[in-house]
Amino acid sequence: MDDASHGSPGTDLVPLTGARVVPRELVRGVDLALGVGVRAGGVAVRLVGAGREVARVGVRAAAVLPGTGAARRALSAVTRPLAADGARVRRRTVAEAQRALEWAVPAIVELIDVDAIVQRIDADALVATIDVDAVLRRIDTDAVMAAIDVDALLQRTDVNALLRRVDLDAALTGVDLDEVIGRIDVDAIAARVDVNAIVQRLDVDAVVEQTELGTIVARSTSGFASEALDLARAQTVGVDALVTRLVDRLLRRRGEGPLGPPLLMREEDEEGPAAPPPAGAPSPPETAPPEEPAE
Amino acid sequence: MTPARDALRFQGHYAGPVSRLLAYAADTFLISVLYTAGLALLRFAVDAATPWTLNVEGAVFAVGAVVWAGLYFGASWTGFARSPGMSLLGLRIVRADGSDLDRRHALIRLFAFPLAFLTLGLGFLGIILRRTRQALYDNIADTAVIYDWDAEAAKLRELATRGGHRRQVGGGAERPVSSA
Repeated sequence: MDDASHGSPGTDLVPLTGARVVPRELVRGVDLALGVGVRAGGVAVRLVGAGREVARVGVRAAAVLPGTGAARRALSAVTRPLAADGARVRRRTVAEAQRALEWAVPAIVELIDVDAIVQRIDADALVATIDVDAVLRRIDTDAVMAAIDVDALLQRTDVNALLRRVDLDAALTGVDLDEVIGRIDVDAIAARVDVNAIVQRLDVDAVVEQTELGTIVARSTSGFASEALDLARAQTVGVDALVTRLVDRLLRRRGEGPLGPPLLMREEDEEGPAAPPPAGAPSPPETAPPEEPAE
Repeated sequence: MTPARDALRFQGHYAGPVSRLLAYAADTFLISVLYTAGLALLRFAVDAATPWTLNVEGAVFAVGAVVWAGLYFGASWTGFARSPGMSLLGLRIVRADGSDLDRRHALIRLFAFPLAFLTLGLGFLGIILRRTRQALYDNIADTAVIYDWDAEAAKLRELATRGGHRRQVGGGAERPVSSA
């Protein structure tokens, strides 16, 4: 103790570099006072302990004697001023102690080398004592995820900037496309494609009319005679319908009769309804003009 | 709608009177031409190969024409269910229920066909008055005449021709094909 504060280089944690040096005589005086105080304190503590036992017995004995109430009141009247004085002393002492701490704590903090303390902490050993699995088990992942506002997170995320940072060339360079393609079962994919549905959705009329396929069809099938015959037949059907309407009007015939033989009409119904006639289109022919030879 | 598309929906329906009249006219023309030409060839052959002269006139000519017409219609109806004139107009003879014409009913129709003329044309009135447009001989033979030409091909031909003209006018630019 005597050398610790006089000329000592201090410890790692509390170096005395820059601290105030206390005179030797003052140190010895303080040591003496402390020694006396410690001894006196020890004796006092022991006396207080013994006196507390004696007082407890005495109080129990006095409590059963007559006149104890009057004595207690008299004692209270006598001790109240003393208690008030003691309270004042206690408050003053606390205030003095606070002032002493205000002076001492900064000085102590100034003396402590925090870096040395941190360096002496074995962080690895500290972490090794932590059971991370147990910590993780105690975490309620669902609650954590529920607390996250994913929408807000995505709104704050600049996806474009994120994509700009992705090096697609580098990513694709590492991909073996041949291997990827080789693993694809094309037959299975083709088997799942409904080709009939695709063909049904195809507008064959538009294909023939608007592509070179139509030219091929025209070159392979048409000629002047064919086109003339097509036109003549179509026009004749129209004239048939016109004549039929006139005859129906003359005969005041209402309603629609059979359009064709039952078997053929049944096939037509099964194949689907015919295209709706355009406005003003002739209705199916039903009757023939009068007095004309026909086969 | 184009005429071809409009006509397409009539396929399988009872053939109208104008079509049947034109078909009969075409058959009559063919019968006359072939009969006259055949008779001329026959006369030339007889004149060239024999000392006799073939002179077909009057009743013999008429009977010959009727027989020739019978052969013409009989062969075409029993073989193809249509005469050449009907082929030209796209008509076909079927049974009244729509099934294919067999040889037996074709022959019945052939022998019943003159009745329409023998009744002074009244046999043809069924084409006017009946919704099934069956003449007298059709009733007897249980047959009917329907439209039956390749209107689908005709429609494609028309579309292809129209598209080709449009491409020529538009400089050959292709247009996108929309799905139905």
